[in-house]
Amino acid sequence: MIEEQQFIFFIASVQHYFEQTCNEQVEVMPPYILDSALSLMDYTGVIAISGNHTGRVYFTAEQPLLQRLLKQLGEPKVSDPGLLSDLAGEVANQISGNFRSKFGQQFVISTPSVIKHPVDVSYDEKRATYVVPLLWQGEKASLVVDFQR
Amino acid sequence: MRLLVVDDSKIMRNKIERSVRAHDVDVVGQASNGREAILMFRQFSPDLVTLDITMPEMDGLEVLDVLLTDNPEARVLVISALADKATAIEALVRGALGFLCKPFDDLELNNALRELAED
Repeated sequence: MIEEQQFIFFIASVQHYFEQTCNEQVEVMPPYILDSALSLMDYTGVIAISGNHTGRVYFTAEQPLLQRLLKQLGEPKVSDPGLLSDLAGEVANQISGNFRSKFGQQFVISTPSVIKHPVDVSYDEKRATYVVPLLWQGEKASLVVDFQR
Repeated sequence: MRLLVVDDSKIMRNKIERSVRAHDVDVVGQASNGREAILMFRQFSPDLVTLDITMPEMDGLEVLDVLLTDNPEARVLVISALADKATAIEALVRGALGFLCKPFDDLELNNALRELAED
């Protein structure tokens, strides 16, 4: 079970990413614990966690959010599926990597894998999976944290 | 100054290239993995290298060891999302001259590269 203070840290990590990358704040909607299948959006970056924790971190986003983010980053080809996948993976990577400031060097993250279409992922009711819904420039994304010590 | 950019994310490589363009830094190559990085380092002999850690096949710290074996004077800035102090210290102990945590902004990157060049 992830402690509440750790969960607050996850939210701060997402906020830090958007502030540092876009110089804009992301709106964090009320977070919740998953109680049904996890609905992934158009592009999802997935980081596998090993070491002193096991599980996964997902950054899942609607395509328009990623396109706006690519534009903000200066990429001219905002509809390039390769760049959209790359971005979903890189956001997941950066947020997960930043978690090591709290969990230490034994919190081991994988390179990102990417799921390129909306899909429902079954959930394990024995584990607490935390979902942080996000709204940025009117477009949707979520950070999903599903790991335990 | 001639810079080699090493990161498995094309978006990050492009971001770094765009960021340094106005600061008298020429990007001589973009490598997307460790093996490419070593080949380009030997081919281009860059003045500076930005090096990601978390990459498939060969991680950045392994690449760092090879680059410094090839040229002990290599000036390498490690740029990583791995935000724990131990990783930064490990990179510096292994011979990197700087460590920058992702996400970063243009000013932070260019300041770090300037310090690297002046070191």
